[in-house]
Amino acid sequence: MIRNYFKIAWRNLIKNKGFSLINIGGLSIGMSCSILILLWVLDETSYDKFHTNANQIYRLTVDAGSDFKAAVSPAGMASGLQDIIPEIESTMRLSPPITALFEANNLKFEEQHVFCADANFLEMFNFSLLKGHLKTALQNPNGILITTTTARKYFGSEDALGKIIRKDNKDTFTITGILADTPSNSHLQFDIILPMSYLAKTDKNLIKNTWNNFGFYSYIQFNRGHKLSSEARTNLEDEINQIYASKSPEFQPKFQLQPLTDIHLHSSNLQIDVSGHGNIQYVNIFIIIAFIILLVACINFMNLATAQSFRRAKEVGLRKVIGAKRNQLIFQFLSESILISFISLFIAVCVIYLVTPAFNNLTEKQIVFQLLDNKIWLNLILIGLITGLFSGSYPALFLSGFKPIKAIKGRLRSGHENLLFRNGLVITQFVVSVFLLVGTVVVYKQLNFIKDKDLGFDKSNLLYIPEKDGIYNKRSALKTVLQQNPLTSDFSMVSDLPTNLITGAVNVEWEGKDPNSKIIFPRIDIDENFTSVFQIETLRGRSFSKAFGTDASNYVINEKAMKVMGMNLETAIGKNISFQDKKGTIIGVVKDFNFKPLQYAIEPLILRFREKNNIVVVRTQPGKTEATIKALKEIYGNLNPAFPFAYNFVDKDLENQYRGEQQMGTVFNLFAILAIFISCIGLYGLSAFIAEQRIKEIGIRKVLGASIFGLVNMLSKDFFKLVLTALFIATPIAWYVMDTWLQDFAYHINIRWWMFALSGIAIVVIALTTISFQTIKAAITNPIKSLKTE
Amino acid sequence: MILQIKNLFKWVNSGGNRVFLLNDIDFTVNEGEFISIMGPSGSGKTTLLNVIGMLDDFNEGEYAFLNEPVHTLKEKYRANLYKEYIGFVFQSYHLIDELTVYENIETPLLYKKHSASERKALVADMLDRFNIVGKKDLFPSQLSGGQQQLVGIARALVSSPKLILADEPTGNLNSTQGTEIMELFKQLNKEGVTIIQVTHSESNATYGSRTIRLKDGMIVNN
Ligand SMILES: Nc1ncnc2c1ncn2[C@@H]1O[C@H](COP(=O)(O)OP(=O)(O)OP(=O)(O)O)[C@@H](O)[C@H]1O
Ligand SMILES: [Mg+2]
Repeated sequence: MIRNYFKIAWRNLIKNKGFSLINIGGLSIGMSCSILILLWVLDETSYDKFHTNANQIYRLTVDAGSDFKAAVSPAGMASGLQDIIPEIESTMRLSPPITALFEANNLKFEEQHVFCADANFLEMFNFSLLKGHLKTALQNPNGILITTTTARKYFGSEDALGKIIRKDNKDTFTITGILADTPSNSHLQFDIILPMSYLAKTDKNLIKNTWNNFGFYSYIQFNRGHKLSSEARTNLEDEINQIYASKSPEFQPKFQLQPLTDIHLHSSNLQIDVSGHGNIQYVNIFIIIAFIILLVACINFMNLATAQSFRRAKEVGLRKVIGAKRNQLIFQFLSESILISFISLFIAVCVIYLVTPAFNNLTEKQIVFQLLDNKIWLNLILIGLITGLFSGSYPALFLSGFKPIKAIKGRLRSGHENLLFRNGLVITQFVVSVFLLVGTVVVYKQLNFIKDKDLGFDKSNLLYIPEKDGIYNKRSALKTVLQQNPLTSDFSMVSDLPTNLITGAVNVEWEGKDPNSKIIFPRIDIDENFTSVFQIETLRGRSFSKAFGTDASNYVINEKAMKVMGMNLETAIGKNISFQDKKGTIIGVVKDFNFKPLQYAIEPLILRFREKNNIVVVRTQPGKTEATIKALKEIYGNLNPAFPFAYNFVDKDLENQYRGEQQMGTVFNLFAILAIFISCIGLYGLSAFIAEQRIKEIGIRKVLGASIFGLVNMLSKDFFKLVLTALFIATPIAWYVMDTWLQDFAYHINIRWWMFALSGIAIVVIALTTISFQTIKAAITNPIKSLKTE
Repeated sequence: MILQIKNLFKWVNSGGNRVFLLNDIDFTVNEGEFISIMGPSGSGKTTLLNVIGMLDDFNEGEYAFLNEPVHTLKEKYRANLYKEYIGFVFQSYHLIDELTVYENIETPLLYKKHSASERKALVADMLDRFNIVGKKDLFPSQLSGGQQQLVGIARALVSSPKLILADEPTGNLNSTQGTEIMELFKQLNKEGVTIIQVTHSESNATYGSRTIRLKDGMIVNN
């Protein structure tokens, strides 16, 4: 029986080649997109699940109030909590990433993915240790763990275990373990791990186990078998907060336990975090897009199958007369759609094999499409089945319901209900298309807006040399040399760049401060050139200057800080404030400028004077960037030959901050275009079908003198109405969804009516162009030919 | 008694007027009968046969098939009746275009869930009986009208129905073939199969035990 069904299905496929091509083409594209997206989603949601105890490990995060949440906690806290809370099995701290110069085998590299970790790092996490001792590798302050790739970089094919490696030209380490490269689905991406005991030699917070400086990532593992319910978690968080309150009565932030497996996707609101996180919002959006694309492809299938139903009507009627039950017919049509679905699936699998490298490139992932993986092929078969069943459902129900004699006599043509349903489907497709198009426009505008937004300082032509350990003692000399060279003389030394500032203090006092207020004031240490190099406007007073000798106890604040402290431009200058227990006077107010990614609004900022700072920022003269870099390289080489010279551009850094968004934007656009394309394929098929159906009518009309334009108009009018309806339905949905997305940015564009108009016009043009291929063809056919066909 | 029709009317509305296709039809068919329906073109023969075959509905009157009132029959039950009892031969040899001759004849057996070997035997028997073995792998479009008609009859007979409804089964056949079919019908009738045929030919009608004459949708003599 089934064989009989498939035989007929196959013959029908061959017989209507054009429509089969459209059906299978649309479905394959749709499936490829959806499967790719699902692979991406699977990867995004797989983060950190490879750790055996992933479910019992939590990261301690902190909510310091006024929208400041951070991933860090104090040095002494984790172990301190373990002493008090019995449910804690173990704790492990990690330093924020360190950039340092490493040297071995006469090879020097600057390493950026370096962490210091407590000795139980390898016991809590399951990063596979290829060589060395799991328990002891990080015990000795002179031990060091490196990954295979790093080992190969320094030692080639030699065995690196036991070899010596030097950090920053002074500290020597013995390699005590070789790790496999970090799995790509780990939130921690490292090349080198140093023992925490090494850092503890110099770090005061570690020596004293302080509870007030937030500088470490703390991971807490709860007892085996102790899977935390949300209630238990809240209780533990309360307990932690109480413990902290008893240690620090003056500052009481709220601590949270973030599940290890949540870190990758649920950290977008956390500051001072390791980089490279994903965003649950994007995962959700993409899941929806995957479904939408598949839906659009299924709709094509349904639509064409229903439209062509009269072709099958006679068969249905005859089968009924010879004893077919309705469910047998339904089964027959479903097996047909499943056949088509699996042919498409097969093509989609081939396509995915071909495009995975490009997709990985685009999304910076390392997705491997493994067909043999149980989970993957089960999912694929599921997708094939669901697609087949879903897209075949309506045609099957519809076709199998024909009354036999009417069906045989071909007296059913397109019923009213059928037409309504098909129109509904076309409208749905175009609602999706309009929605995606509006989405594309809004995303594009917003990303451009971010790129071009006036940050309050001039970000172009700003070159900087990151903090260098070896230059610390030579900063005065460096300053002098930089001043002497006209290429580099427009420079400033700052503690932090206004790109992603991670400093912040709560102990700021001013006259009339509400004692309960816990506002966080970020801070940058600047020299006297800061405002001129960054071209930041001073609204009142002055910035720091060599001309006044005593700026060490003066402060410059931004507008926002002025408002927070209840002052205005007239009153602010000369007011006394205290910052981190150091008293001083406000000497100037600068115009607000952004110093964090644009997801965050501008916070109150304190600018503090330090003559020498670690980061050197040079404003290059237009066209002289190369020469400036050369000059700087020489200056640094002379001062500190041991360190390789490295530089970056502020605007590049800023751009990189939105890399995630840009990437998502590109992927979104790509899939939006594909979804619209699939809709168009369907529309093309449908218009071909309708033109074919009305070919005789067109012939007669032509003989009676209808113009080609009139005919095209007649054939397109109905579609035009559908597209307009879709526009009406899609507009509010798109407006709502995109507005929600924009609210994530403290700085965002407003949705404007022209975005809808533009999308609407684009869709109408695309749709009419698609249809016109067929309508024009039909309209210019010689009427004699079409009339003869009867 | 297989079926009984009482005061049956079927009409269509055309320009505000009722046009009667079947007008006050009354008749009963008993098991083992061989009935011929005759009448001029357009008199409603096909319409009546379709109503009897439950392929078409009617507007007024009563129709009981095996003592079940037809208008209350569920679709599923109707499908079962077809499977079990009825073989239908259409006036214009309707075959499934996508299936070969062999497959067309085999399809009713598929729905009756015969085993593969049984199907093979039954279909082979039919092909043989109608002398179309050589055509078994051709599609309907590759056959002449008469050959298609033969396949249509073979398909109706393959599942050994108890009631055969045939709408001009010999219309497209030459006289020898026509006679052969009639002989076959007569043979089947002797074996207990009930047959209702529509025909234009008086000689074919004589094979039947009874003739119903139609004119303008009315039975003129019974
Ligand atoms: N759906 C319909 N709507 C309107 N009139 C119909 C319909 N079906 C059939 N008729 C009319 O009913 C009449 C009887 O048709 P029918 O097909 O039963 O004739 P017939 O006796 O089988 O003729 P023939 O010998 O030519 O096959 C015809 O006049 C036909 O035009
Ligand atoms: Mg007739």
